[in-house]
Amino acid sequence: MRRPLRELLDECLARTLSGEATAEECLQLYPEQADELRPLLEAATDVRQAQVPACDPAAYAAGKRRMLEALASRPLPARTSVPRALVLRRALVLAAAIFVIAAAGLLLPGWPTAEIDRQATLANAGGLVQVLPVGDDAWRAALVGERFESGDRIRTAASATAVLAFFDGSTTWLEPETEVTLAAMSSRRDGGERTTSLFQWSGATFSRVRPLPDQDSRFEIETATALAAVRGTEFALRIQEDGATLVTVNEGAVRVTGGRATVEVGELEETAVEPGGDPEPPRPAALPAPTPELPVPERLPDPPTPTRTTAPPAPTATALQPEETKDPGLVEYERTPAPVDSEITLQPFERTVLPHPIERTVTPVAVDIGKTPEPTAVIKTPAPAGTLVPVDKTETAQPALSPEPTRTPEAKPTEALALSPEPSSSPEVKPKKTNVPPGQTKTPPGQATKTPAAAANP
Amino acid sequence: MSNEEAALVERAQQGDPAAFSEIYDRHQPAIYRYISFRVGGTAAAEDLTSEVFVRVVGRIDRFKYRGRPLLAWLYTIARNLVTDHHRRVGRHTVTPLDEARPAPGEGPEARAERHLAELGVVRALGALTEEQRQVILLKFVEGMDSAEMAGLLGKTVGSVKALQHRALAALRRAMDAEEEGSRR
Repeated sequence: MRRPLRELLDECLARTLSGEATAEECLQLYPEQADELRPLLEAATDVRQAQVPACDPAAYAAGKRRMLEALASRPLPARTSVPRALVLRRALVLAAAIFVIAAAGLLLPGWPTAEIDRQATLANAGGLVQVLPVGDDAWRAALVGERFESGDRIRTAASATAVLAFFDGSTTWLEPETEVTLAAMSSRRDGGERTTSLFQWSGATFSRVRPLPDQDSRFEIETATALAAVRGTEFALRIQEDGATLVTVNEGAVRVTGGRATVEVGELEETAVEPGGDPEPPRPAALPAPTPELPVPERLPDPPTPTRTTAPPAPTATALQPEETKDPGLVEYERTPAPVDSEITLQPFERTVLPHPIERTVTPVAVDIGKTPEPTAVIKTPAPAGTLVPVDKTETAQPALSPEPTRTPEAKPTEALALSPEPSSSPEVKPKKTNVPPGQTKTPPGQATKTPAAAANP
Repeated sequence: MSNEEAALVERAQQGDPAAFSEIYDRHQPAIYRYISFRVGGTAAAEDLTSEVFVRVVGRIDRFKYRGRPLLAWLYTIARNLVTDHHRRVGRHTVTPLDEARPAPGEGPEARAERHLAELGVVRALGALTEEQRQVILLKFVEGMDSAEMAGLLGKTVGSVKALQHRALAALRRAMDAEEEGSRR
């Protein structure tokens, strides 16, 4: 059987990097795939030949000194217990101080012009949307209504979309497989000098930008090849397969910078910026960029309030994760904010089968598997709830640490869930609680579904 | 993250300077190399590397073990800083990696040629996605195998191999485009 190219490539790289064989010797081992392997191994050789940079010893020492100085100036964590009365008194004094400072601030001439950080809200989502909070090292599922700060990264999975609503009323839709960093969001306290700045890593966005109040305000999206800056407009920005950035303007104008040149793209025009190149001269767009279908709610949703009343099932319970979003620290479960027709309760080390249509209506949440599972988890579905299947506890012992999880990228969610092909035929376990008997649903399959851990987002 | 590293992080979270020094000694070289390949230019790389560890001091309390090593968190901080840096200075001001340091026995012509090749690699890396770039640097600069990269990136070995394949293919395309551009 012919081995996948990625396997052969990995083997060849291991051999060449260890000095066991040259690239040519590897190619001779696999003559059928030599034509495909050769350019990849050549690229690897070019990277290896680049000199590995080493830090200057003086800079190394200076960096360490700077770190230790920062440590010395850091306030020490409070370690002593303080009597409750004293805590209350301190809180009152602090509140009074804050009131006095705030009142004084209102009278200060510079107060209205002070710059303050702003936020964006996940106004709507269809499918898996994740956030990597600034300074954090793990992606987790984002919830509708969640607020994001400058530096947070947001991404959508395949076939997922999202709408970000910014503090000034501007909105940006994220198409499937899109990733952006909210690089900066700020304004003056009086609302002037608005800055909304995104870095788009991949995918496609569509932005509707509110007119900016002054010359110092800006809304811009940067990519690896271009910077698109606007002053109140509607435009789409797509990063293409070859890394080029394509900007299409529906209304207003967008100033696109790349390389050493800037062009102004007007209404119903578009331009492309190749990696390392200048923007192409604007040309008429064949069609205006289509407005995304995902609606923006008139009123922004409230921030989600985490509760632990329904807990996640054991970590090895069936998880839905696209290949690129797998993270050993997270397991994601399905959830939609819709009415519920049936409900079952999972005990630790049990898992269940969910109906097929659920995969089209999911909004996942993340569960930190490093935490001990809570006693039970509730799964609610519109279709017949599945049958509980006890999970082998030995299987759950180290789920996230296995270098090769048993989930395969090819497995469809429903396949992964299908632990018991005939839910009702499993006699050894029964649903703990069912609002609607299996087989009787109030809503058709494919509509509203809800699954556990709705509030288990860490 | 090993138990030993967990203990080190715990000591750092309690404010132990020796623990911070140890974290710095262990990881500064890798973070510096990563940043150097992203921004070129020695001075900028040194400044940003130093800033990474200052941020570690400020945020170590927020670090929580989620199955990935401390180095993965440091790469995240470094990546965010590099993004900010690119925003400040523009994306096309990458300078050669280490202009001041000739390789042993290298003549001026060979050195100039090497600088051009390195510049091409750095620019080509700029055309990759963040994940592709990271997998290239971890593989060829840090010398990690696929299993080690999987642990660090929070992926399966299979998906790391697939990512590595896509990354090299994208790098080849970008380097070809670089060569094409320099011939014009």
